[in-house]
Amino acid sequence: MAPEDGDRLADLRGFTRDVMRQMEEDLGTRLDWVAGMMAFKGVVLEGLEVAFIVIAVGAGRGLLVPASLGALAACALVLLVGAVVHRPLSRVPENTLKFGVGVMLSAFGVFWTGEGLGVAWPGQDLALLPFAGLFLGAGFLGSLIARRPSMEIVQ
Amino acid sequence: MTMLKEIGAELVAMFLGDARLSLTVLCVVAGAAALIRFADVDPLAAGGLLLVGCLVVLIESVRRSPRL
Repeated sequence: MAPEDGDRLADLRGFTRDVMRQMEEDLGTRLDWVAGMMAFKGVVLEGLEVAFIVIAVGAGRGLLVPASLGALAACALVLLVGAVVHRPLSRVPENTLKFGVGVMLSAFGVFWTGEGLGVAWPGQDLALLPFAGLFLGAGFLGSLIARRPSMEIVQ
Repeated sequence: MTMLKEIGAELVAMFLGDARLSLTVLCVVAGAAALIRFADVDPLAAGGLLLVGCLVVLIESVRRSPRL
């Protein structure tokens, strides 16, 4: 399939469905199952992260029950928001989503690691904002570096 | 058995996308912790080093990664 084949396609949606049907036959399985496994993998990873965070935040201070309840409430909220905005969210490019999540996780990671080491960040939770800004800047700088052609190609 | 190995490898890959990056970040965290614990450095200064170290490691990791 190449861009120049586009003029031979009368109906892209129908063509895509045919390709997917053929893939199901070739793989000998329903694609629903593959999609389910991918979703399961993602949810397991995020679920484990939440469990680690709840234990880290709650266990040391005897606040495991409130932390767990907070995680459950957040889970319900995410499910609700996901159900409402899943269509517009699915149009956001995957790499943009990953970039945003990476910035947030990096900022939270440094913040919490510092707190664990006994660092009293100036501004407390507000320190997360400049951290996110710094990681965002580093991300943009990294993307600029990644876009530059390597020396071998230039030569 | 092969399937179990693949599942195990997938599980490890979920946490360790880039082993070198993970190891370097761990070294930065350990360095900051050691400064606070053993060198009696002000925790806020060590926190600043932790932040700068993570940023440097991130950019260096991108710079080292192969281009497409």
